[in-house]
Amino acid sequence: MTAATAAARIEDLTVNITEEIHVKAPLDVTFEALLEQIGPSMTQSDNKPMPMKVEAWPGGRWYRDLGDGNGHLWAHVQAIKKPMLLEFYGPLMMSYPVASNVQYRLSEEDGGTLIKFHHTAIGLIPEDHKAGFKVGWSYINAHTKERAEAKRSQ
Amino acid sequence: MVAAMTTKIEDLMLNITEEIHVKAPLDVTFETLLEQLGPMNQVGPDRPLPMKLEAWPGGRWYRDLGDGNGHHWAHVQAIKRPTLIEFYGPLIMSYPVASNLQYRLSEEEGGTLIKFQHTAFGLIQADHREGIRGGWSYTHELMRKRAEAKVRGR
Repeated sequence: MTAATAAARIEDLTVNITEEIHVKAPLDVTFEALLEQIGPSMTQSDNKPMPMKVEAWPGGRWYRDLGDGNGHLWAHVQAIKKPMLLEFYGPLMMSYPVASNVQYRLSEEDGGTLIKFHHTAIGLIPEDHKAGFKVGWSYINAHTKERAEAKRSQ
Repeated sequence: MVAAMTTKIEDLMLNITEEIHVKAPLDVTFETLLEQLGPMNQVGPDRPLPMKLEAWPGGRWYRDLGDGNGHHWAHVQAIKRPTLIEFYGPLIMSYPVASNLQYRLSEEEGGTLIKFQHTAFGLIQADHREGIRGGWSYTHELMRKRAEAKVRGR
């Protein structure tokens, strides 16, 4: 059965993940740590390095550089307002027809920074990917928090 | 929630067409279109919203807020001066959506005919669905007046 035939309802075509991350670090430090975590310090869930490149400007690429012109394009920067907003659109790691929007909205809160994370997608998304996304984003977001708080204590 | 409001496949789609008759030559009209979508863009009377348009295949159409900040609307999908410019991207929509935007220009008696089409697929918000049509019409009317003024000024 293909993904298309499995999707009987519109809800089957969508992903909607939200997360709020409370970081005990200032806004600018948290934003910087976020760019590092989803960029050169990115790791897989087994903590294996998977460095990415983020061109932090409108239309910039978020991609895995395998060298010699090889690699994987995950997304483009849709909006960036340092240090409060970073938004992407693109296929991410999904090798099938899909549109994703990923948002990180940062604001000051008592004692630090609140990151409101939102990933929405529509397309022919297999169920195992849907389940994996939530875990994967939580892993990345937890590392962002750790990184920012470690910077603050330096 | 966006996804929950969407119950029919038709709710996921957008299809806007417009024909603009411009009393100006093809090359002048095309040049004016690039200006109107780019540095001369505005969203209402005395409400300029200058954009940058990299007018080559894969070039960015974006709002440059300076210092690496901004909003990326789309990439140039096709360009054949002075008869075609086509874009793909999220435009102003901060949710999962794929848009295709086409301007096809041809000579007609007394000037230029522009056939405009905007199609999109995704979790399109109802207020955006209403606003987008009016927004394009406003842009096109400004562009038509500007192109015709250039001819009169010769």
